[in-house]
Amino acid sequence: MAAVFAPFLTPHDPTAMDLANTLSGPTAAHPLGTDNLGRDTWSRLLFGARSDLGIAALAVVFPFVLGTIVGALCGYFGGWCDTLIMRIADVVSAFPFFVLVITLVFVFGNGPMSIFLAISLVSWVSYARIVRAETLVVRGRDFIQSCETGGLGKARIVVRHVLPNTITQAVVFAMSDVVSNIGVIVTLSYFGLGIVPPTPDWGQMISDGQQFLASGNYALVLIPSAAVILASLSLTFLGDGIANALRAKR
Amino acid sequence: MSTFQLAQPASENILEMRDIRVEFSTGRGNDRRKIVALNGVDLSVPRGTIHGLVGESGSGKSTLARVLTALERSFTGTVVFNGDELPVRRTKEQRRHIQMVFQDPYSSLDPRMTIRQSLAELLRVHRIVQSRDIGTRCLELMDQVQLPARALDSYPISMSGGQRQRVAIAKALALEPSLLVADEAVSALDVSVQAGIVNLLADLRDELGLSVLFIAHDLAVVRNLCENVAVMYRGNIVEDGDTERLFTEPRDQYTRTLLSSIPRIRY
Ligand SMILES: Nc1ncnc2c1ncn2[C@@H]1O[C@H](COP(=O)(O)OP(=O)(O)O)[C@@H](O)[C@H]1O
Ligand SMILES: [Mg+2]
Repeated sequence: MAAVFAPFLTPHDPTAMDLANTLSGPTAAHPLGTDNLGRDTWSRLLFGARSDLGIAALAVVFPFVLGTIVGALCGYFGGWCDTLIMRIADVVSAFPFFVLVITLVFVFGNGPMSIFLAISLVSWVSYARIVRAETLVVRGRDFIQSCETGGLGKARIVVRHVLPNTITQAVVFAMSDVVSNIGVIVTLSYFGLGIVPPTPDWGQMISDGQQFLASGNYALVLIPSAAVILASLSLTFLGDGIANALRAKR
Repeated sequence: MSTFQLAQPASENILEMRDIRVEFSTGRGNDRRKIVALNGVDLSVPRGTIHGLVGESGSGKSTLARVLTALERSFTGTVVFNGDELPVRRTKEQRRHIQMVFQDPYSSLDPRMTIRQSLAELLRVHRIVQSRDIGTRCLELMDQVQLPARALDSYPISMSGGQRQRVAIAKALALEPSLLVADEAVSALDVSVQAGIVNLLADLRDELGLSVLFIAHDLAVVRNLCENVAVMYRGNIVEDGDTERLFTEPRDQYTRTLLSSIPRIRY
């Protein structure tokens, strides 16, 4: 929430430097202090949330949509197309997630777009798997057979009857996927592979702040780290809540 | 209550199945086995009657129902419906005439749709009535299966097995079929609830002239409801004919065994 309204909640431009006022502690003007270039930590934190959470969410939506459609079609129709796509999925998931994403980011170059593409190309597989497995179960249930004897078209059966009964698991997974995406994005940016300056992001903030750990200034590392943990936890709880709400409707 | 008119009789039998064979292969490699589920079955259902189909579990009754409703497509033999041979791949219109009620009422309704949505979808897709009359038609269907109108806007989860089976029958009736296949449609229900569904089927036959293929293993129910009964054993129909005659003077050895086991089957 705070991230969405970042421009209104922040007193300073997250990239504005004030070289006369570096590494300050909390003051009235800078509630969380400033970093080595005199940038306001609070502002950078919120704008960082915007970039990290924004890309994390986007990188869930696209694979979710793609994977769900592919999974439902493969599960319902089967055949050689299903076999082929599931083999591709096997190949993709044969590599560790991180290794594949880092490799793809190397290939595509730094930046939000590249992270988004890399994550999407890898994680649609999870959604396709989940929805396909659910579809195989639902397909055998009598109400789908009853759609067929009722003369409903295949497209209608998939969209109106199979998907609404299979999508719950995918939504639940999407919630946890946002969290893991945040981890990936922050990590990549920490290593300088992800979001590049001047765009603020939590990973960079942590790595920038590290050099001052020795001089006893922990805040620049602790604050963004705490933000990562808090964001992940609250999204996890939100995900659980949504999952429960969806199950209750069944 | 509005009722629908059945097409003019094109033949005396609404359904004739001839020499239907279905084989399944199971297992892999050395375990590979062939199961003959239907071994050349002939079956005729006279128009406007309820035809019983009994036989022990695994004798091929459901497979026959699935061939009839085109859920099972790999079979040989011919299905003649209303005087015309039905192709394996059927059109929407060809499917409409033969409707099925499934055994498990807890799995045969889409849990994500209200009863109204389920009925309206069928009415709309088959253009049975004009859009503005869908609401009225839904009410009539509920009336026909003796469910309260308020049930229209509930989800299946809030309904009992017997109510769900009535909804399944309403869905079938929405398409104004000439033949209803009830595959053990009352077997999963309590005895008292069974009676209600059985009476409903008898009413539909008497009022609409609906023909029914009634698959069951409770012989007592079949005796009260059906004009004719076919007995199935290991993929063959061993005896087929008038219900009273079959119960009083069974010709086939297996039928006699089945009849003598009635006290054990009833509960
Ligand atoms: N999809 C299938 N694959 C393999 N064997 C099947 C399949 N469906 C039915 N069978 C077999 O065919 C036979 C007849 O089954 P079924 O028609 O369900 O009998 P019933 O409904 O009379 O209990 C059984 O031996 C069953 O195991
Ligand atoms: Mg059966």
